[in-house]
Amino acid sequence: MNALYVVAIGSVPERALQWAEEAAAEWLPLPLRRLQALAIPETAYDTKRRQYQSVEIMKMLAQSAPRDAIRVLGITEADLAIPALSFLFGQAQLNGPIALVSLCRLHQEFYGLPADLDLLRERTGKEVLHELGHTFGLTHCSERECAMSLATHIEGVDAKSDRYCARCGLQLVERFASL
Amino acid sequence: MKKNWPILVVDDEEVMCESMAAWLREDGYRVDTAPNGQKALDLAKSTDYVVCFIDLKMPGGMDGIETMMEVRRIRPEASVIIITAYATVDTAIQAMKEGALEYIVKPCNPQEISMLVSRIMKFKKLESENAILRKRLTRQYRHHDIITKNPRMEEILALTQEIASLRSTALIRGESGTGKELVARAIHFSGNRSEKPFIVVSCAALTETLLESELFGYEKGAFTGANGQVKGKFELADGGTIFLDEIGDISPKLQADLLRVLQERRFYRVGGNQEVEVDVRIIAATNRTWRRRCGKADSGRICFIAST
Repeated sequence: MNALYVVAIGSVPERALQWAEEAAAEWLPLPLRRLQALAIPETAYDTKRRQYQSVEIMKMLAQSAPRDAIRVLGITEADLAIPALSFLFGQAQLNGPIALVSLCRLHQEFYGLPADLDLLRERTGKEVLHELGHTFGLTHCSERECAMSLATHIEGVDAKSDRYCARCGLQLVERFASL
Repeated sequence: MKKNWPILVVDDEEVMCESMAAWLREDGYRVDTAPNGQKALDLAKSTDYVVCFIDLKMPGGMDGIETMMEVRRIRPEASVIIITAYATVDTAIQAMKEGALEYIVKPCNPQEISMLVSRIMKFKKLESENAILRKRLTRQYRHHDIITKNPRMEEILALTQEIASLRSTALIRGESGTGKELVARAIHFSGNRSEKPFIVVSCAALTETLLESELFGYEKGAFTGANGQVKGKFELADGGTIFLDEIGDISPKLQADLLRVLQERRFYRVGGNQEVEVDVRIIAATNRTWRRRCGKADSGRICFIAST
């Protein structure tokens, strides 16, 4: 059966990759495999903004996807952005195979606060579910607690739960049934 | 919220277009992209975009402001947001003057864009609901303004519905105070012209010359005091309905002029030599006895005579 591949982009702690896999395994009935870590493409770095253009990393992920990959989830510590927006927690192809989550702004340290591994784990799980949900066709949900609700700041990430609401969960089940 | 409302992103940088589109698609919107102004116009001709994000600086061809003006000409209801990496007060003022809803500097905070799009969509939803409610109210017009249990009158109301969407001229005849104007309004507001003007002209209240300039308008210098061009009621009613009350009181000369408008929907303004063409449905009313004028028998009650 086709698998969901998890891959580190640049240097990513092993525990973060495991958190991502655990979150995915809880909701998605797919075999999980790990790809060898990929280096962040040089073309992705925006020297003016000191951030990484997520589109470049997404392109690299698409090129690196194994043949049996139904989805590829990249995890990175890089601070992601797109030209129009100042930052992204992650990005995904709607109904496509590629998803990307940045841990950079999920760390408490980013906001000048002491590190909190439990909170980082929680946030990582939420963002993984959010971006993978997009790859299965889910759009932003109006239920504030649903993992698919749009978070444009860290408080928004903390306000949602690490689960899909009933409506999004049902859509996901339907999508799996049609795969 | 109607997430299927389409959004257009116009930018010469492919990565800007695609990344912005991808981000908006995650929110459930249908998003198209265009690399230049010309392509944006081609897309706008076939799709009724609700929001257009247009980059201010695009090399070659149209810049962002020109693109916005052309898009708004094709889609006046579209909300345009100008995006730029090089903001100046002058360009911001120009963009807003030319009709941009918002002027934003990239990169923007995701929350800012998300709230902006959400606000526009909420407004569009309210606009759409308002239009639906207005239509419903219009439909109720005939029921609420004309109260009757008279079977003959109910027949007439049924007839108003039958002829409501026709272009044919209608004549309403009845004694003073029997509700001829209400029936005319019921015809107009039940038909496909209900969103357009309903103009009432009381023919009996004006002298021949005044009525002529009132109906057809006049050009500058047509008569003493004609200081500028003025549109007549026929022009003001373009696309809608003109109700000529007490048509039986107009002079034979004006009747002849009206006949031409009835047949051709064209006329000259008083003192003008350029023909004006209008799409107007004419509903006329009289309290005179048609029998005497046409030599035909009539029922003596309100009736419609639709001429072709």
